[in-house]
Amino acid sequence: MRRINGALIALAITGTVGALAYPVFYSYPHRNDAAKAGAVVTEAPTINTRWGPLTASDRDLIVRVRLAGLWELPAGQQALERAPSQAIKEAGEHLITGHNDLDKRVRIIAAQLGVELPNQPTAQQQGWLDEMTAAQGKDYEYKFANLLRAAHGKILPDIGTVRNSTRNSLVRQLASDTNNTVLDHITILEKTGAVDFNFIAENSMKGATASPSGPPAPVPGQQVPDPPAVTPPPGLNPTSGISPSPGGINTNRPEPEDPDGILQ
Amino acid sequence: MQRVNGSIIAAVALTVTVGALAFPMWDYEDRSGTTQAYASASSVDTQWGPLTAQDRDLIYRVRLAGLWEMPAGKQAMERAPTPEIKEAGDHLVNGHADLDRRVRDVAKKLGMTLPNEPTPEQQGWLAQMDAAQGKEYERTFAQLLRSAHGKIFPVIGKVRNETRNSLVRQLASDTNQTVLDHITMLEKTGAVDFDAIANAQ
Repeated sequence: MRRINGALIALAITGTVGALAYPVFYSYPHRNDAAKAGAVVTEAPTINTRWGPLTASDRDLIVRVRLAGLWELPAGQQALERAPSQAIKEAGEHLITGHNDLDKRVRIIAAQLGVELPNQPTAQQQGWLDEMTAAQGKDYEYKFANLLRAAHGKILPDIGTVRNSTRNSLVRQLASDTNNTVLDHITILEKTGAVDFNFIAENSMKGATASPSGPPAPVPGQQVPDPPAVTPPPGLNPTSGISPSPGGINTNRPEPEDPDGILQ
Repeated sequence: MQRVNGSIIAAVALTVTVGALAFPMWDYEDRSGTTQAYASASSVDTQWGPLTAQDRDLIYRVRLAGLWEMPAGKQAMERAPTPEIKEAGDHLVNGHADLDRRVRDVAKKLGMTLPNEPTPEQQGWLAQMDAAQGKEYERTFAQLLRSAHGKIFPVIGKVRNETRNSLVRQLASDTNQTVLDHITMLEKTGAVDFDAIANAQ
């Protein structure tokens, strides 16, 4: 009897220790697995082209630029027609000009690289268009500004990643052009005054896990010393203009070359 | 004997139990918290909107960029092994003089103390360029500067999207344009190794 009791106690202790250890050694270290699995994209193979290797992320950017035009052109058209304010009308104009231009470029490049382009917006993008069409008054202004601002803001860092890491010269130029158009659209959408920055920030940080870290926060009211300026030394006479249009986004660029007559 | 054994086992079991219960509390800082908690962590309010750790990081990095790229650009203009490298140096000098003016203004308004020296890593890059000769200098110059600009470029986009601070928003736009200009000018030297940049991802 004593023996059996001893075995039972040993079993109970093992069970308890196991149950306690499980969350510590398994659940906790694997706490973000589900989120990570959701983020994994099946890597399609890289193919070689005469403009350099074309990776899955290069092709993803090409398709996303095309998709952007497919829903933002009708969204811009509607903003131009409904025009509840001058700022929204102007944002609509920028959307139309910018995405007409990008769409030309992306069609030429896709033909050169043999990338198949979609001809319909995604179900999600169609949903955004429906939301805008159904919205009235101030609600329309809010929907227009925030749906478009969120989509542009989400792609901006991705364009940066592709611009940095691509080895394909056509994609490199497309990423540069897209960066400027997207930043211009972000800026003009914010000028409507209808962008809700808390919504944008929270929407973008969803799923963030690491604690943010950075330089110390300033102490309110505390005077800080003036740091010495970084300026060209005397005698060095740089002649280039300061970086293109600081304070504004220059989206003026020559018409795309169309060697294969894609736009005809 | 039986008693002693029993007490030892019970004591060990209790210690392990308490320890296992306490362990998850330790180093719990990096948990997947709520988005609001993430957004407000180490954030301070200013009259231009909340200033997050990520915002302050960009401000620091813009200042640090000027501290090593100004001397690097000056050297490229003086050594000028090719017209393209001289031109890239010219853009580095003018672009970072402009951004430095902007970042000092932003930091002053926000009450942030800025670094005045490049980091040891950046000083190492400057030393590498000082030591390199001929074609090796051209490659070192183009590669080190292109890598640094390419690395910060998506980060600027992230801050430009997420910031709720109007001063940081404008600084991120200006920095985006200057950095893309520098990336483009550096690539025009023909000395950038794109495979190395892609493989460093």
